[in-house]
Amino acid sequence: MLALVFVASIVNQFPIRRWQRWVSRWDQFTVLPHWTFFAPNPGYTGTHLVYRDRDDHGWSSWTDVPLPGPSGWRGLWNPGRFERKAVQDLFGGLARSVRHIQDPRVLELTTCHLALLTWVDAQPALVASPTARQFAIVETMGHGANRSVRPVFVSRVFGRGDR
Amino acid sequence: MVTAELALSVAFRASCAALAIGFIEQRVVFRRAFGPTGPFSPSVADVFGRPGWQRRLLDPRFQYVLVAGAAAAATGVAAGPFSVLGRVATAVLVLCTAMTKWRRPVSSDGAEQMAVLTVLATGLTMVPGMGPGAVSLAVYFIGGQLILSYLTSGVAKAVSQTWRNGAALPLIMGSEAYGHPSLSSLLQTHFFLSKALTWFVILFECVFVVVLCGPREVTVALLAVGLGFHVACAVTMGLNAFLMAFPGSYLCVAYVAQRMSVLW
Repeated sequence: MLALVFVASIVNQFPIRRWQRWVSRWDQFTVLPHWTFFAPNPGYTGTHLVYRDRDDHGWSSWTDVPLPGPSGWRGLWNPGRFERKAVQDLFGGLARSVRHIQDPRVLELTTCHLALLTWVDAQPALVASPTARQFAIVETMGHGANRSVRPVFVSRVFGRGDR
Repeated sequence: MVTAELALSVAFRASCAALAIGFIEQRVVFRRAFGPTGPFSPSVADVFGRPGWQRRLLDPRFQYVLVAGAAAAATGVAAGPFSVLGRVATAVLVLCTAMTKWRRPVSSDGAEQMAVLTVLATGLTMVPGMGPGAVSLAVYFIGGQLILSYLTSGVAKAVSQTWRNGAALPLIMGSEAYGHPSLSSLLQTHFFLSKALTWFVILFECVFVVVLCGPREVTVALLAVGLGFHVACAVTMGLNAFLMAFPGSYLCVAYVAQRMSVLW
């Protein structure tokens, strides 16, 4: 059995779409690894999930879904890593779907989009009586004064009764 | 001389330590991360199609799964894989890990994956009826996964223009999630250092497979470099669990090397 898993692990390192589809269907616990740490494209952006609400007076300002920042002792103790990685993973999955799905209505039904929407939908209201909500993913690069921010995904506007 | 039992014991304990820290960290952020507004809320987990019985049975008491996982992992560290207590801890740990994967379908990383593979391989050696070669096979499996991880990662970096031209490390150090502001500015102003470090990572990961055929001194040197590499990654990038899950498996690599290399 270990030999089988090892051989499957080797195959899993190659970008074979049919194999990957099969694996994602059957390997629910992601036992088979895909070992490409920070390669070929190193993760060099910070990923933020932001949202805004609309009421009769217009839109609120974009607000971050709160995520913990890294602590000074993160080499030993890094509890915020799970939440920060959640945004990255969900956006990564959404970005992969965007490459293959042209129809925005179909894209909205992908697991990662639905997960992001569910997460955003649970956030507190930004205005007293919101009638609609919209979310976006923004990427940041650099630190301090050199920090740049750009939106990479903007959802459609969801009425608060849409879901 | 590294024995299979020693290599498996060290790898298992280190993996348990990595998983224990993960469980404790998740328990600490439980209210925020697993609560109704968090990324691992029951509603988000449902989107991924987890089984209904898990929702009914575990949602009200999921924090106890994290506590049980942490306790089992800590017991695994203390008891090792070859005692009755260690076997019970392994079973509980596998169960808690599976439950957590259902509730937290994203946010896994390579360290968690390596630790889980190590615990699963160790668990298979405990199945009744397994012969005396099971421990050795598990060690081969763990060592093989580690070598495969470095080789794949090294090749993926070597074919990447961003890595080859030395831009990757300053970019990573400039990121919020894994970056370090002072190191980022240091690497951006000293491009030669940046390129040298980037190529050092590529070469280390690509060359690591040489342990399978090299002399003992080369293997020891590569393992020492690997340990330093993971310490640096933990300090600068916050990859704390990698520090235990990967170097913890180095004795498995040493065992495989001493059995396979004619130059050992």
